[in-house]
Amino acid sequence: MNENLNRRRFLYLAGGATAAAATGAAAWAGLLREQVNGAPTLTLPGLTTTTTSMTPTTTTSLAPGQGPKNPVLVIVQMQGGNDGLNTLVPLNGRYQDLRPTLALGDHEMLDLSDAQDFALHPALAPLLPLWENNLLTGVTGIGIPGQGRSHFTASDSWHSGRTSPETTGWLGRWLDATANGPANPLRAVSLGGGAPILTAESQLSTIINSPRNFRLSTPPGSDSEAIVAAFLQTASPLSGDPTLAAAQMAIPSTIEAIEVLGVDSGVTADEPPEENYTSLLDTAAGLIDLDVGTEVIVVSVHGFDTHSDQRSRQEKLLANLAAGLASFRQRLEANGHADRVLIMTTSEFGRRVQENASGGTDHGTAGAQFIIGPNQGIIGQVDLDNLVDGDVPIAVDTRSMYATALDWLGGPTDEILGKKYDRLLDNLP
Amino acid sequence: MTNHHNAQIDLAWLTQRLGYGMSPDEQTNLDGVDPTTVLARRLDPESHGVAIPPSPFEGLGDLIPPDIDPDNFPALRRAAYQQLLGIWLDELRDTSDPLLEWMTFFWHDHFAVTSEVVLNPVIMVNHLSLLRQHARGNFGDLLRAVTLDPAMLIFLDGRSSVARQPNENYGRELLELYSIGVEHYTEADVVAAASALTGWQIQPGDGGTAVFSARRHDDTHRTLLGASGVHDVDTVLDAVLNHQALPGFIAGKLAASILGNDFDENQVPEFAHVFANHNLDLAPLISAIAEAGLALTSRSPLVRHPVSWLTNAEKTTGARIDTRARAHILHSMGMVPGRPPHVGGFPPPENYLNASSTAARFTSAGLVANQAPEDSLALAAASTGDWQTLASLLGRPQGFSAASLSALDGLKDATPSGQQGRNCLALSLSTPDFLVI
Repeated sequence: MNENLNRRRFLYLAGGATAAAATGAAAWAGLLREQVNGAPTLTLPGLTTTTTSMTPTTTTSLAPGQGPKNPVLVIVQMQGGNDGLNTLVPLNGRYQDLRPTLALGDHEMLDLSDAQDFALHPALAPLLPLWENNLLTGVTGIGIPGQGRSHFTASDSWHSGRTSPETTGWLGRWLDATANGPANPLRAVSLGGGAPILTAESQLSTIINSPRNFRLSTPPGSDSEAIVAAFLQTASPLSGDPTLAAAQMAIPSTIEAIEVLGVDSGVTADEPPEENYTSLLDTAAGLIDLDVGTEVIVVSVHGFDTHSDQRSRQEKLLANLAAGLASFRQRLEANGHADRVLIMTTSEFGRRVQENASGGTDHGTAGAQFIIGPNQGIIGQVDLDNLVDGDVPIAVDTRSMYATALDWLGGPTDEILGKKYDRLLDNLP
Repeated sequence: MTNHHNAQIDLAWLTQRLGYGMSPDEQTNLDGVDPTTVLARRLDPESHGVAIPPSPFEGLGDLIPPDIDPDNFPALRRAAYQQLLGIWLDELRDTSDPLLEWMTFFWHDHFAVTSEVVLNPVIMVNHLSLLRQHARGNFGDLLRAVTLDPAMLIFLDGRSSVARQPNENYGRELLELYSIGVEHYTEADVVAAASALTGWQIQPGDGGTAVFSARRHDDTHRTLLGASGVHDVDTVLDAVLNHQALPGFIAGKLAASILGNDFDENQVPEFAHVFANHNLDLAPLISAIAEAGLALTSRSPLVRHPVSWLTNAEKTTGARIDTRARAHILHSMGMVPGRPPHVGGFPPPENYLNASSTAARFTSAGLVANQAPEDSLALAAASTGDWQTLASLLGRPQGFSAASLSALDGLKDATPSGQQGRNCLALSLSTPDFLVI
């Protein structure tokens, strides 16, 4: 049971939130002192404030031939386990036999030129121009051998990149391994909720549930400048208690993130609007434009656990995903960032081939993912004639995708993954 | 440290770990009362002459006219859920039976049924009433009731699970999340449980009742968790409830919620033993865990989740926030009762140390402080700079940390005298000290 508690804890936690993260307190104390000592000179015009000097940091040391200059990795999470079979559809007669009500019809699917064996879900139409421009790679039959069908165990493997219990995420380990210079909480940002892949031993990342609702406000007429300054001051000196220290450390990084990101969204509704891929990726694009040293962005949307009513639910989610990705990519291109940003989708597992009686599918293993970057093609396969316990057999190890991502960031890839995995893209700049 | 001071700290710990703190009146009433006496009263109020308050959810079902299908009336549904939220938060804050509400919320987190899937407010209200009915009763009764509860049949698709195509959603989570944990079952157990649970549907009327259809049911006798002859809901639950891992699984989860994640896990077998020996009655288990906590000289800290933070803030300051504003606060902080984000429930409270929740906590603290009534004792202490009294009122008799004290002093000096009280009260509510208990 304690294993389970830890697993559960790990599932949700990301850097900055764990007691383990508080071991980074030493590294943080310096920055904290600097900020708190600087508090009297804090200028807070209204509540949109710029106090700390955000030095654009690009400290990644690039191994020759690995990744571009100033690389950025954007991970787009489909939380709940996206059904890969109806995302990147195998053009195999068995598909429609095995999915009597959920299979997409021949006339519905979108052809991918040059890829004879696969077609796209119609809701993914906004991704077609990326395919035509040699920027879209589909990876299918992808999963982690031995990951299991439980949300929790599968999520653990997905986040850690390992099948044994692990307290850090694969990108968290990269943050630790490449830490250099003063800590920058905006180096890794999670939008749309916590991202356990960012859980690190020492490095903190910034988690923003709803960017449109991310600000500090004080009641009308109160001295907001003084109150925010005092709030910052509650962070120092750091308590010896790791939990209290973690709560303290969240304060300067939050204020810093708001200084950089906080925009008055003009949202006045009683409840802030629900975030989706379009809105979260819009924030992600803004963050890249700001050039504040952000190297990793994780964007998460829930809802892919389609045990029932899969057709309409998945269609809506995929449509939003594709629209968000297409406009994100356009904005990167318009602002000259496209060549240094690699985008990957992830999800904890694929879904069972056989549909259930609720118009949905249960948890499976292998799924399908996309990489948006300098490559075109389909990697992997879907062998519907040789299902393993009713699941698509795993043809590509998810860690190969992680390895590709870590190469993009400049590594050290094999050290972080604990093993040498095949790379999916061999023509990285 | 005097004994009285230690007793105050123990009492603050108990009332915050098994409830949502004390109002100033409750602090006065409980002053000098032995914490173990308070625990005994809360475990069994009726034996101590305190009537169990009626369910706040009673009668809420009448919100929806019986001949209207709320699934088709989103505005009506939203209004009903808003009203439910207000009544629920009021009850958490004002109840005369704090342990009952705390345990109800614990089970809400455990089973994690969300109104976003259930939709129908009547079914959701009935679900919460059911959790409350068994909240500190018997776990077996609770699990049996939840298994056939219409809200659960909707939430994890039991209503559409049929012999031909069993839906594994409930079967899996029953084993993994609700009873024994992921390391104690196999995929074959999931299939066996799911098959034996097929055939249940919801009959409309009064929010819906579970009805069994033999035609849709797979009555094949299977082996589940080593028990043979499992073929229906009773035999599934027998197998689950008799599993040796169950007492430790539930006891460990409850202990972590009360004692904090870093509690001594070596105590779990002891708690599990008490639980099993009492036929899975919850009161003796809660008692064992709380007594173990009271016996500690150094206790593992716990982060308050947003619902606890807001309830404590209202309770200790006397502020009364209207439901729309409370809904906004909780949404911004990332936790809305009735809407757990995931089948695993709300995230562990440390999750709410993230940037979003931190910003929302700061903003909400200002809002709460602004609503504190003129006669609020906490406001008075904040106005005069009596930080020790303020800390005690906020449930921290050991006082504020050095960092918070210097921030409070600094703010007091930087603020014109008319605003000192509310500004400093706002700051005290946004301190890490008020978040980590």
